[in-house]
Amino acid sequence: MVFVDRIINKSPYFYLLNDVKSAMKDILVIEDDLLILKMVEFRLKKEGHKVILAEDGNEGVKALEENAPDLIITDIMVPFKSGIEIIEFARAKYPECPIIVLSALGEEEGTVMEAFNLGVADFVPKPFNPNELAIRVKRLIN
Amino acid sequence: MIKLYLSFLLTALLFLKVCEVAAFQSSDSLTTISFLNGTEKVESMFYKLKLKEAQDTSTTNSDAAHLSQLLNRVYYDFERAVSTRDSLIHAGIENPRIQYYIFDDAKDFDEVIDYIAIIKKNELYIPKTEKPQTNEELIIAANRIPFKPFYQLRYKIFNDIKFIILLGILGLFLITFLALLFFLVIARSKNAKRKKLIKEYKLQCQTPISSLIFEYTFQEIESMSFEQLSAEFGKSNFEKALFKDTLIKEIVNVNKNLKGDFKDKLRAIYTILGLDKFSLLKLKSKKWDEQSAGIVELFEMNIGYAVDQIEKLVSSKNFIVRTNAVRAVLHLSIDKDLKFLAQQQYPLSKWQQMSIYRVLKNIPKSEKLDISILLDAENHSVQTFGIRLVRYLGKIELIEKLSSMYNHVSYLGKQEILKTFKALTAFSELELVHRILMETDRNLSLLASNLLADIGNDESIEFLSTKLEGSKDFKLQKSILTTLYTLDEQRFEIEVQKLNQEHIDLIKNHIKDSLLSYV
Repeated sequence: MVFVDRIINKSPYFYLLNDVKSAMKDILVIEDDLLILKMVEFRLKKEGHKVILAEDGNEGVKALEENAPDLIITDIMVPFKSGIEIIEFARAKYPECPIIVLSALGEEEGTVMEAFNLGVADFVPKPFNPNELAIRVKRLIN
Repeated sequence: MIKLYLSFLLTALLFLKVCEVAAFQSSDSLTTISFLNGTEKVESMFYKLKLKEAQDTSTTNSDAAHLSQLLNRVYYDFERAVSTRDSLIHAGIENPRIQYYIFDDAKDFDEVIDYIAIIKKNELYIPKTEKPQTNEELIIAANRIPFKPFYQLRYKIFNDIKFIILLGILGLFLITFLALLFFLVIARSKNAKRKKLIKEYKLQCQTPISSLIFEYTFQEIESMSFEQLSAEFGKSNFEKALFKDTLIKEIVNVNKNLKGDFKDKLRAIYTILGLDKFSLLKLKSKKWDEQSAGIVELFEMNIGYAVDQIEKLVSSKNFIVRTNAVRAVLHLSIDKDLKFLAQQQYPLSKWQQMSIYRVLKNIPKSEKLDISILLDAENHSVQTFGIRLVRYLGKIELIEKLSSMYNHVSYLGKQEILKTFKALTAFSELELVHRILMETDRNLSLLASNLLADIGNDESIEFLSTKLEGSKDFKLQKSILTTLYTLDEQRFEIEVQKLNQEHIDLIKNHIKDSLLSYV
């Protein structure tokens, strides 16, 4: 039996199955630039994730109330509610959910520092490479 | 606009009122008297004869009863009242006068003039005829008024010049208001339609751009033809300028936000679809915003071959176009020749200098950047910017040049040179700095004194000491003492004692206090 388990565990299909399972995550993306939102969605869907989109702060909070995402990617400057408010809300509701900030603000900016203080897992400055973002997402999810 | 229209309307009404008052005032006493003479009866108006209050009627020769009857009589015909008054004068009664009554109230003649003006306008009077008629019927009296059919009355209304002017003004305002409203509605609907189309086009662009940059390699995109690429977006769309404009904006937006090989892919899409030519066409537009948009697009998409065309706009009259053009030329040109900037006719604003500096600081050190050409510029603002660039970019090799040009630059340029010397610790220019310190200009001396704290030597201490003795300016004294303290603490104490002044002691305490020394 142990032998069989070892064979299954060492099988490439086992890892593939594991990969597929880990890849199927719900990711909430909050970004006011529609084209960037579409880009991120496109890239993450390529990785096999389910992507929930929100174009502003209100939509973001609503999406957080209706879904329990495995990861959140948010811009800092979004209409109606700031990224910080969204992060605070997400932190209170889903303390374990990793958050990536995607922003044109510099890492040393006060708002970004505040986001880090709130427990943001990662910061991706704009301009960004979608492939790099996908790798960071993968690292945080796994 | 409605507010404006209402204010115009109010002005017009005011004008009407003024016209009305003017019309009434134009009826003078003579025309009123002649009107009253030619009128048999004026509506609600009658006359009585009065004597002076002080006059004793019993002393007259006339029959007292007859006189009393005459005085109590009510006259509707003005002419009769006048003839009776005249007969009383002939009979020896002094100063009998006519008292006017309107609606049974005694009125003076000025009030009668106003009333008659209204009566004339409304035709509430019976004019006199040749034949004296008594006990006539109302209908006969009415017939004596000349017949005026309605169209004649209407003609009369329009014959009134003031009324025509008023109507004209009101009409003009109404037409203007309606025209403006019409154009507003048209412009708004056009704008709404345009926005709707842009939104639609944006949606059409998003998916193809995403799929192209994520699903194809740069080499695959580069090998695609216009037909292949345009098929992704809908070939017919490329006949519409608005679609092309929206697509460019979307590509530029993505290009700004993404990095890595995605930029190359976007640039390939931009050029294969011929959007670079569309942007180049914008440069020839007469509208400054289109020119500016074209420059920004070519700059963002890094289209190097557009430099020659953009360079034509570096001396544009429009500030935005000029700034963007300079920035784009600096970014896109290979040789980084600043000659065109040195030849600028317009002064460079701080904002322009900042944007140019942002481009220049990102130029790799391997590329040759000759700033000295800016130092020779005739345009003072360009020259001053050149001096600042020496400081910002740390061009130590140009310190000597700055020193040699000091006497020929503007006042601001002189200040910038001193700041540059300080930033680059120009020990070699000590002689010049000593000379500047001893000059009478307070600001330059201040800068020189401040600079000597970094580059000064023993000789500088002597110069500072001499300057301090001859200076009465508090700020300069404080600066010199601070520098002296930095260079030689002992000499500082000696100079303070030598001056022996209360405020110098305070400066000394301030400098020596570690907490206050930076205040």
